[in-house]
Amino acid sequence: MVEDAGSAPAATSPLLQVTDLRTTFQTPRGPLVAVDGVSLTLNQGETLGIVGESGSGKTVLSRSIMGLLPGLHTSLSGSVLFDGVELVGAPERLLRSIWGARIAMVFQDPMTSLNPVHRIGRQIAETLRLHLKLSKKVANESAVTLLAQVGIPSPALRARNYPVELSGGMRQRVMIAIALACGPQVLLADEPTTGLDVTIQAQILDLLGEAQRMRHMAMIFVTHDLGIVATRTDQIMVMYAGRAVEVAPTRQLFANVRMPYTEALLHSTPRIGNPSHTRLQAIDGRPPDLVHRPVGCAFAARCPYAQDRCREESPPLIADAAEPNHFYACWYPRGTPAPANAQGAPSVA
Amino acid sequence: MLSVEPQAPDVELAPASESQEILEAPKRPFGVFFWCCAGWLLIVALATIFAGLLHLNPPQQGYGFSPNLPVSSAHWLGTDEATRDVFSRLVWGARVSLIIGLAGTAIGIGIGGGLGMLSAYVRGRFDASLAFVMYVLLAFPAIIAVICLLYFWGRSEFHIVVILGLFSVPFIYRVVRASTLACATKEYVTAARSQGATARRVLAKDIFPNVIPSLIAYTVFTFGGIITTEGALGFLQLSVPTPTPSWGNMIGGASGDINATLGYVLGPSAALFFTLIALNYAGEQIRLRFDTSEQKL
Repeated sequence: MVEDAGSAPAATSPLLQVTDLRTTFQTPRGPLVAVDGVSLTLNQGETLGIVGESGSGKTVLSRSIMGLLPGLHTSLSGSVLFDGVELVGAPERLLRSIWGARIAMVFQDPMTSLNPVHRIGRQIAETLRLHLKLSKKVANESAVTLLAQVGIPSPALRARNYPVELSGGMRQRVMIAIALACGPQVLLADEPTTGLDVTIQAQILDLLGEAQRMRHMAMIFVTHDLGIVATRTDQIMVMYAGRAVEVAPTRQLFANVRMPYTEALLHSTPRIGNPSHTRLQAIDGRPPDLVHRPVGCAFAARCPYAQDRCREESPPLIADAAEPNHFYACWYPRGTPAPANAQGAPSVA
Repeated sequence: MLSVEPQAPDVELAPASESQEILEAPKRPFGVFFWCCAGWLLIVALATIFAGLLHLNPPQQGYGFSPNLPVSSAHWLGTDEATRDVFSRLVWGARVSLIIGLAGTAIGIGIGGGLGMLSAYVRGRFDASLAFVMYVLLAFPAIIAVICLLYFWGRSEFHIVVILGLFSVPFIYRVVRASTLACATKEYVTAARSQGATARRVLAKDIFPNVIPSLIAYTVFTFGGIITTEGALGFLQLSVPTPTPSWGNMIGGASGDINATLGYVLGPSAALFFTLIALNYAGEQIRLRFDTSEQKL
C-alpha cells in the first residue's frame, strides 16, 4: 500500500492506462458482462469522450475505472494503472485516498447527487477537510472561493443554501466545485449535462473545459451525444454492448467514420445544416441482452450492412491501415472502397 | 370519451428566462389537537422530572385506617385499598412508566437503528441473516416471551427495561433498514464515496440524517408501545413489585378491588389513555410533517 505513487515511470507512461477491463454483475439470470475487455490510455491534460447509447456500459466503465462499484455481486478484472498505481483489486483504503483527491467524478443527475440535508458549502468543505486536512475555517473559505470559481454569484451567501434552494444548473456547478476541490488529476464526468437545459448545458461544458485547461487536468467525458464531444475532446471511444467499437482521435473519427454503429449515431444526431423538420434517423431495434450476448458482432442485428460473417464471428478491435491511431471493430467498415472479405483481419476470435 | 376537436391553438409563449426556482414544500401546520397532546406530554414529563419537588404525600405510605377514601382536598384522587394517596402514586407511577419507556426506547433505537443502518448498507449475507433473526423475533408473541423471561429473571425495573427494549428492536430495525435502503441507492451516497468518504462517514453524515425523520416518528410509537406493554405487565402484577407504584399495577389494583373509588379507578387509566393518545397522535403528525416521500426533493 505504501507504493510510491509512480515517481519513476510517471515521466513516460500515461497518466491513466486501462487494460482489458471487464466488469461482471451476477444477476439472477446469469453473469452480465457490462464492460467487456475495454482498454484505453489517457495522458495528462487530455480529454477522452466515451459515447454510446443507454446500456452500452459507458457509465459502468467510468465507475469501474474508479473502482466505485457496489461490492456485492460485482467482479472486476483487468488492470487500471493510475500514475503507476494499480487500482483493480487495490485495498479500499488506497482507493479512498485517491477518490476525490486525485480522481474525481461529476455525476449525471445534479438533483440527486447532492445530499439534501447538508448546506452546500459544508459539502464542499468536507472533501477539503478529509483530503487536505484543512481546518474548518480555512476549508469553509476555500469552499466559497471554489463556488466563485465555478461561477456561482454571491458565493458566500450561496454556501449557506441547501441543495433544494438551487436550480439544476447551479447544483451541477456545486458538484463540479466539489469534484475540483482537491485539484484532481483526472476528472470523470458522467453525462454531466443530461438533466439540464440546452443553454445551461453549454455553460456547464464551457466551465468544465475551462477548469481542465487551467488545471491541466485529464478528463473522461461520458455522454450519449456525439455533438457534445465533437468539439471538446481529443479522443473519442464509441461503446456498444460493453465493448469499444471505434476509438480514434476526434478529428479522424468525424472525418472518416469506419464503424456502422458510429455512423448510425451520427445520423441520429440533429444537425444545424439540415432543413427544419428533417426526420432524424433512429437506430432500429434495441441493444443486445448482455446476459445472452449474441454470437458474432453485437451490432449485427441492427446493422444495415451486416453480412453472414458478422453474425458468426466477433470482430476484434483493429487499427486502420491508413490511420494507425484509428481503431474499429468491424468486418466490413465504412469508407472502404472494396468491402470485400479480404479486409485485413489478422486474428479470428 | 376523448373527443379530439380541432381548436384554435393557444398562442402561449414559453417564459424567456429560466426562473430561479426555489422548491420549498409548504409546511403542514400542526393543529390545536397536536398542541393539546404536546401540552399533556409536557405536563407528564415535568411531573415526572420534578415529582420530588412537588411536596406530595409519600406514595408508599398509608394514611389512617380506612382504605378507599373518596376524593378530598387532602387526597386529590382519594386513597387506595392500602390507604395510600392515589394522586401521589399516579405522579410517581408516571415516573416508573416513563423511565421504563424511555430507557427501553433508547435500547431499541440504539440497537435496532444501528443494526438496521448497517444491515442495509452492507447488504449480502449479513443483511439476510440479520433480517431473518429480526423477523423471527417479530413473529414471536412478545408478551408471552416477556412474561417467561421476567419469571426466570425476576421483576426488577432493569430487567423490564432490557427485555422490553430488546423486543422493540425488530420494529425499529425494520423501519431504519427500509429507509437506509432507499437512501443508500441515492446518487449522493455514491458521490460521497467518490469523494473518498469512509463507510462510517457515509453512514453517519450522509445516511443517518436522512433516516432521522422516520426514526423520530417510530421512536414516539415505540415509546408508546413500551409504556403499553409495561402497563399490561403491571396489570398482571408482573412489572415492578407492588409497593412501588406504576400505572399498570395501579390499574390492576383498582380492578381487583370492588370498593375502589372513582378517582382510583379512573385516575391511572385516564393518565395512561391520554398519554398514549397524545404520543400516537403527536408521532403521526411529526411523521407527516417530515415525510419527504410525498414532497419530492
